[in-house]
Amino acid sequence: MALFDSEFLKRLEYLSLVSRRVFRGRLLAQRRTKQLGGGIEFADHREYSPGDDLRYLDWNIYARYGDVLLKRFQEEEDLHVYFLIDVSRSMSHGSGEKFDYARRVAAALAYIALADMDRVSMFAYSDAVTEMLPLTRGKDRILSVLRFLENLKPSGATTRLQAAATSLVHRTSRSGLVIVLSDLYDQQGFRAGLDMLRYRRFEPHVIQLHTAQEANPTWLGDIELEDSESGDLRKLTITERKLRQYRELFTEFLESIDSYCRMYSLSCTRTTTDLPFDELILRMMRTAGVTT
Amino acid sequence: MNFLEFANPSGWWWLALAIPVLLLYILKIRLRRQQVPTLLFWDQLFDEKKPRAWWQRLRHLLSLLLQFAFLALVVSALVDPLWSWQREQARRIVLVVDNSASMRAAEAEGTTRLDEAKQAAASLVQSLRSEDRMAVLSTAGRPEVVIGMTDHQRSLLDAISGIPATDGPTAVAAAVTAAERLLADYEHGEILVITDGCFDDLEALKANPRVTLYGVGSNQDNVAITRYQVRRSLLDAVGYQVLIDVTNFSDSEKQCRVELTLGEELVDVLPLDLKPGETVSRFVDHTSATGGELHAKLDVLDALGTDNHALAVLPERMPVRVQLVTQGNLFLKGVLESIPLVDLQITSEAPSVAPPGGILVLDKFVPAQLPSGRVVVVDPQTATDAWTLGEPLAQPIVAKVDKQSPLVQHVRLDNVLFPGARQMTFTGEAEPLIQDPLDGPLFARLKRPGGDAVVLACNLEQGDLPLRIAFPVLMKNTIEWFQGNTGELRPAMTTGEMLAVDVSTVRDGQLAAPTESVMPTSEVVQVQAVEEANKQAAQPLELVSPSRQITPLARTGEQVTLGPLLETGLWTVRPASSASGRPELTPTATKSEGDETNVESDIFIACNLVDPAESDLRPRGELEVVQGRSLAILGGQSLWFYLTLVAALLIAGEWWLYQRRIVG
Repeated sequence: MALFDSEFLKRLEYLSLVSRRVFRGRLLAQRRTKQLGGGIEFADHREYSPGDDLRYLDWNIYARYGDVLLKRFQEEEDLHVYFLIDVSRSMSHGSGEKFDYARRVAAALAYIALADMDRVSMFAYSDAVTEMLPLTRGKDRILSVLRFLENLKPSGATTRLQAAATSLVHRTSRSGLVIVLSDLYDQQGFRAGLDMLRYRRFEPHVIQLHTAQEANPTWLGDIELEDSESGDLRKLTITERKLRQYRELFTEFLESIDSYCRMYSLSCTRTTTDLPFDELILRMMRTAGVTT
Repeated sequence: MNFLEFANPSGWWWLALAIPVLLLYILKIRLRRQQVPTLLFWDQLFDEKKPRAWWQRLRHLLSLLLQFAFLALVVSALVDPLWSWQREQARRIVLVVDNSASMRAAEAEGTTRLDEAKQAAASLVQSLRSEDRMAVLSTAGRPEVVIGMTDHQRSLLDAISGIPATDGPTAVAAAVTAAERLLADYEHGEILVITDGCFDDLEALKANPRVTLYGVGSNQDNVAITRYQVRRSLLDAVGYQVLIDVTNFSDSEKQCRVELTLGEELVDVLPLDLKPGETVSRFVDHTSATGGELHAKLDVLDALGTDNHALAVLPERMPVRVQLVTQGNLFLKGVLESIPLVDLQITSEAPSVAPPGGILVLDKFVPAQLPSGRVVVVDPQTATDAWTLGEPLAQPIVAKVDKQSPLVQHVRLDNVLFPGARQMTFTGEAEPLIQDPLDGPLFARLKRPGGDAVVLACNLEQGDLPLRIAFPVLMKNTIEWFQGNTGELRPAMTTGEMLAVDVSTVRDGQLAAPTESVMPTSEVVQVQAVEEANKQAAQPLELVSPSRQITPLARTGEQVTLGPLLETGLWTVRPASSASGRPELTPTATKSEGDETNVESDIFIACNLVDPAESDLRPRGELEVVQGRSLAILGGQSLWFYLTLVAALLIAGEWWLYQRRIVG
């Protein structure tokens, strides 16, 4: 079955419609910047200072209370949405379901963004950025986005989010929303990459993917484990106690992602590949963070 | 001298199993491979707790060594090593299993005491060490070696399971004596007795240091027939008397009934009310000409059923053929017809010999040559070769009666005249039984080689003797005296008793000769009798038990010795050739017309328990109970036992290592 078939495209359209109705047009393209300026939507008042443009003086307040206050408006501008998609071999472990899942989620979010006239760019990375889709805009560009995603192949011997983030920062002129789709099994640690994005005023959103098998392995006894990225081997004797410790360690890892994102007010979504991707998109839209 | 020997050296071949163990180990260390997305977590997990001791790295190798050690120990156990000191300390044991009648008592859950004893014996056998040897004796009636000294446990168990339940008396003391003889060559031999303790010399056995008594069974109530005999009446040819004793062997009062049946016919029912420990005796008088098996059945539900039945053989009364030669004496005819079992035939001419097995009665007319055989002469009118007649007696009244003679028993002749009596002079030996005042014989017995004769000198038609009671009594006495079986007794045996039986009457293929002392006169008949006697001596006999088991009998002359009989019921001595093609007949069976096959000559012997010692199911003392594997003493086991024990510990160690590795 093709990765993006007609059924998938129907779901994308559905998600796009649902997103408009639920959020009343306050999605990505209408997302307000934090800059105040020449927009048309009222933001707040401030004390008048000599030299201010008198067109923005709130005469009604002055007439009623005698206070001289200046009206401030929020300035609107296009949102840049960057996708950092992990294509390391750990994502394609097993039957590759994690890799496919990441690409479907990226396609869905890109479709919603393009439909709302946002600019979308994609970066595939493992130990460095391997593929890139330049900034593009308009709903009619969705096919090129899908083609880009479909042509991605797993590669690389390690995962280095920091290298990918650095490359993204250097290649883009404007900051924006960065959606990181990865399992975050980064030998160097995922924090450095996200820190890099934060420092450069990008707004990262982390979508961590893993399978149920990774969270809860069931092997017992003497076994030889092979790293799918590096090919390293480990001869281990796995006992029930070790399995319990593994599960605890994995849970700690997931919680460390949550705590990092909370600490820096980043939005974060964790999911297993068991959850249908459209359910995940709806869940993301309902939560504050990416969509508000 | 070898300090260590191996009972089964071929067991070393099992060491070849080490090869597959090694192959399996090699296959095991080629681990299965599993791909994971990252080793980050696994490295973190195992780097935290690296093996802290050097031996933990060798756990796999240790596991292999443990498996080799386990195999070595199991193979060592299979070759059954035996230290020399163990061989020297081998034990010799004689196991005495009581299989007397009391061991048939029912215990809980439908088992008998003998079943429990067999189970206990089996557990003792299973606890034998390999170098120990055991013999098994049974004790019913007399000690019997069930199996000789052996160390083969399967044979011992089979022999124990084959010990039969019997109705015999306990012979534990005799069995212990026999066991001591078996152990005469062994200084430390042991005698183990498994019994219910229902015999009297229990305490004496307990005092014997070589004897260990183990008890089975519980204290049980029982009511039993403790004596049972029947015999023909002394006074009445068809009458019989039964003596029966019933004892209550319990601590409570019992009510029961005894039913007596002769064949299929109910004879009597005796209700009994028995106090604890009481013995009640009953006599029963009854009449029957046929005879047969007389059963006594105690109508009570108790632990032992064998002693609730008893059996006796009532001798059959055969009809006696009486030939009356008379010209019409109604008195004589009437009185002979009134005597039981008399088959009367009246003729007018006297034969030269009395009917075979029968009696010839001559009225008035007597041939010059008195016929041979058993003859009664009434009012002889002529002289014969046995006597001469003189003048009529002047005073034919009774003056003297020989009261010792059975012929005149119960005959009262006061003031009775014997008209027509004449002076008689006997030519042979004679015994006057009734005499007149001048010692003239009125009633006499003549002793003859060809058969005794009785003479009554009295004209019945002229005197009042026929009108007196004395006359039928006198004639009945005479007929029964000739029959010679008044008060006949065939004693019922007690189980365990020995009995010598006269088998001269046991014949096959023809009718038995009369048991009475009929002596043929002719030489031809004498020759036939000698040949018949020789044939009898050569005829093999067999003993048939109540359960139809046949045992050949050793015959010495005209007697065989039976016993001890260990089964209650009816035993039969019969010719060995009659084993096939002959109907099984009981003492009451009748012979069909023209059937020349002789079964009436078979000897039937009733055998009953009637043993108060066996029927009392209360043990006479405290006995030790067999515990499982009583003979297994710590330190006394074979070496293989400990090797297997260590092997089991190694298996446990291997299991522990596995748990440590896998389950954690």
